Amino acid sequence: MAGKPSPGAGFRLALRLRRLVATVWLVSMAVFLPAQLVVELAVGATRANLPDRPLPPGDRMLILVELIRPVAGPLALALVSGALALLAWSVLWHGGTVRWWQGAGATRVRLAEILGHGVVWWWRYARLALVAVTVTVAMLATIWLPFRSLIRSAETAAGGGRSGVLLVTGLVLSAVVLIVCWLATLRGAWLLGESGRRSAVVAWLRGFGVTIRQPISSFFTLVLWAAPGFALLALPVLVEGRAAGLVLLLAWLGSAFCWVALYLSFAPKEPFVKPTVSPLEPPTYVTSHFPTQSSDQ
Amino acid sequence: MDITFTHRSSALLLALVAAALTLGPIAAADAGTADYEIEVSLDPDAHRLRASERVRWTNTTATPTDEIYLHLYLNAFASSETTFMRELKGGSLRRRVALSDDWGWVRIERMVLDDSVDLMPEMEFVRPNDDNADDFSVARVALPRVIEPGGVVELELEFSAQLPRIIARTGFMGDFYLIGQWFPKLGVFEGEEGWNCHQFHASSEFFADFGAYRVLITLPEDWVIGATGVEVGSAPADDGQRTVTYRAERVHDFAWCAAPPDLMEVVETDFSPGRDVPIPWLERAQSLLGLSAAELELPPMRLRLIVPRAQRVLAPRMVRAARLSVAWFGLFYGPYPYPQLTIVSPPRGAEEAGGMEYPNFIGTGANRLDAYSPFSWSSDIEAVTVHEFGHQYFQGMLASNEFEEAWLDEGVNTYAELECMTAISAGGLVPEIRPFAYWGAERLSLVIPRVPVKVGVRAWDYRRRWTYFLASYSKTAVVLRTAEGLIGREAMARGLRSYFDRYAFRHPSGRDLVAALGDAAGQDVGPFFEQAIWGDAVPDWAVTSVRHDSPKAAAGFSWVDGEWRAAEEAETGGADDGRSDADIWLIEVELARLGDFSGPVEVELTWADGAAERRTWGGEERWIRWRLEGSQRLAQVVVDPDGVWALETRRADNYWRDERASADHPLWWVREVLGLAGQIFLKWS
Repeated sequence: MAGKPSPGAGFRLALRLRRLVATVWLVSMAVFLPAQLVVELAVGATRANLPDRPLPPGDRMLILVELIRPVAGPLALALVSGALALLAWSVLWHGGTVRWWQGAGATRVRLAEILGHGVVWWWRYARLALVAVTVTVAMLATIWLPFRSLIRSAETAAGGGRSGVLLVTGLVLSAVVLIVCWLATLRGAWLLGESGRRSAVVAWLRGFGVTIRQPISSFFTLVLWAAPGFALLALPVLVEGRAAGLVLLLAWLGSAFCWVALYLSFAPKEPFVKPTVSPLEPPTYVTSHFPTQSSDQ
Repeated sequence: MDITFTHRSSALLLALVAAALTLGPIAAADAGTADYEIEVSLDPDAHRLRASERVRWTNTTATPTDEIYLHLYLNAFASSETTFMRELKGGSLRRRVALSDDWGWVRIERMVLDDSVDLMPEMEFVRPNDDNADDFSVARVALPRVIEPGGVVELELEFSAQLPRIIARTGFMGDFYLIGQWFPKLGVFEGEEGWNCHQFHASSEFFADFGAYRVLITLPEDWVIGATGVEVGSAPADDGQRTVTYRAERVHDFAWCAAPPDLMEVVETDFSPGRDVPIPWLERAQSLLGLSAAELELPPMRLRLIVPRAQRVLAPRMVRAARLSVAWFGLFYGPYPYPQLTIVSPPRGAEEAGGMEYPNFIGTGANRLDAYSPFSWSSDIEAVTVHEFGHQYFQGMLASNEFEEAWLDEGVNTYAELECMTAISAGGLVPEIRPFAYWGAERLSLVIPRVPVKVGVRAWDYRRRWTYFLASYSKTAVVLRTAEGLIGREAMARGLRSYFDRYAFRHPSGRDLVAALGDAAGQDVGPFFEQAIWGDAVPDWAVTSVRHDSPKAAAGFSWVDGEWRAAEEAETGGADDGRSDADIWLIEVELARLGDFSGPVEVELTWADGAAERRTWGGEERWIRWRLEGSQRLAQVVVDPDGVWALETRRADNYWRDERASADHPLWWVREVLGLAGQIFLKWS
């Protein structure tokens, strides 16, 4: 039975899993290094020739387009592959964290073990991600297809004032769908880790049910972590000056902490499985490809 | 904002005009080259027009003719095989539109000469541009007699027209009608060159003679109507209809719109110079044109906005845009000589009818969502209104040949539009819109083509349809912007003003514009425009290298006092000026003209101590090398530092600096891309 989410518990667990936080941070930046490299190689030298004063209107954009255009293909490839790598990485550490919590999570933290379990359970959690995306897109389409017709009808008729209301209503409903689906996915990820659970669809639906039953606490937890998470992601782009690089590193570290803490806020209050006699041993019915203490001896 | 019609003097003016333009036939004194009297009835159920037309044509040339040519523009929408539809290739001007069963055509059912000679047997369809046997947009009629220079001929026609579903700015959408190019219209007789009467192409617009129009339109009695000219009468007709009479003088076309009152409504307002001319604009015009405030005085005029009820909330913004347009063009190009302007914003689904100009009548466009942020940040409402009103001058009054020199209308107008929009943005005259670099965005569009684009070709001869838009609109505007940078803002403003004053109502050509600008600038601008408009040369200058060397001791022998001496001995024989070679830098700056466009360009050299100097390179040669000596290194070299050559889009190699600048932000390129995205999608620089 899923309990209410706890931002405080998420914070404490994220501190415990600080190595995971650091790894999330580093990998999230590393996946976009190829794109950064492509841009620097294409544009960096020319950019270094630009004067410090403002350029004539349009020059900056023209130069950017002129130099990026020949490398648009590689840049796009680097960005897309980076995004896919980030997605794959997210699936990995989400699954690995659940497996860690399910096993000996209450007593020991081993980053390699978390990541290893994430690899083992990667496909199960990738299915969960696919289910989430599919359901989200389907629900948004269900909203917008009729709304689009309604808005058009309202604009062609005399009562044109309704079109604005309809648009706002559609946007609000879309935001609700996105938030609910996101929460259902977070919940479903933890439920998927229960013993005997393999169906991503069932896990997501159960997560959806739990979210509907606990809307306020779920939404509050999401906002509490996601708001600073997004803000810290965007902050470096807005900051100027010599400290921008340092701000970027620290802000994105903070953002990584928020995302990990958000996920851990939805962890069950107790691990799925009580610790066995030896806290170093996983339960016998849990498959693990990692050597155990007993096998080492 | 008070947008009700309250200006008493405008009301009086309009009454006087209406009284002068009586319901009677066009007086001889009003006659232009081609005068039209048309009685038309709209059948909304069948989307059809039935009309009778009397056209009086005067041969104003020195060449006699025994034929006339007629444009039958609506026939361009008769089938998928017409020249227009083939060139359109299933697309539309702005969105994909499939005509399906809603084709359009015009059929002349009767045509007689003033002496009752039946001309129908003498009519044949001709295809002067492409021999397309399925195109019926031009008809030639042989006359039984020769029309001598100064002679007049009158034709009486009866015709019917099937309106298409809105395409190319004409047709119907639901109960909304925008009816343009709907009547048989004479081509332009150019004397020895014959009749100028091109087929209707997907990328072409129109060309016709000036004259007076009197049009009686019969439509459902409660429908809203707007048209070219001024309404001078309205009378009930049969079967719940009414007949509205419009008069217009010195125009070359007549368009109108109609819709039920539950769909569209009319906003009557006015332009009042005392209220609507921004003082900074007046001062700027005085300064640039050298005219006094009295010489720049503008007359009041009536504005009539026909807007969908769904867009009513945007009416104040549309009215403000119209007033600013009238002010700008009036100040810089001359007072608008007509008493009224009608503006129609098409309803949802009929957007294809917007963004178009007719004499005294323009179609703009908006979306209900423009009332909300961030959609309201876009200046599209203002830009399209300014652009379409600008056409009142370049298309409406100058009336150059849009078939053969589309750029002369679209491009010159785009230049004027961007100047106006820049002034609006800089002056904060439209609080809703965000700051936007209009000229920067226009330059950006020029990077799209990989094959150089020539502007000065016929509208249907461009390589692609989109290059028509790029060349006629954007490139021409940037060409004029570059010319402005080269000859100066004053010369440009005065040149354009004199071009308008000289050629209003006279169908100028591109060479006339070039001559006017050259006269104002006091220099020959022909070579520039030959390359920019009638050529496809691309300007591209580059700093190819900058070398710094320290002076080295000479080696070998030197001839001194009749004998060879070792170089070291020869040097020590010279005067010691106390200057050490270590204090001197020998600098070579090499510039190259990578593009084919030649012209003078400024180069700024900045030294390490911050001092800067500017030099001008004539730009005729392919490259040039400057050798300099200085006690410091050169810190920066910039070709065209002020961006005078707006036409040059390859700017990366214009800049050189000695100490490379490090990026001030690790994600600088993300910021630049976000800025570019904001510029494109949010119209926010």
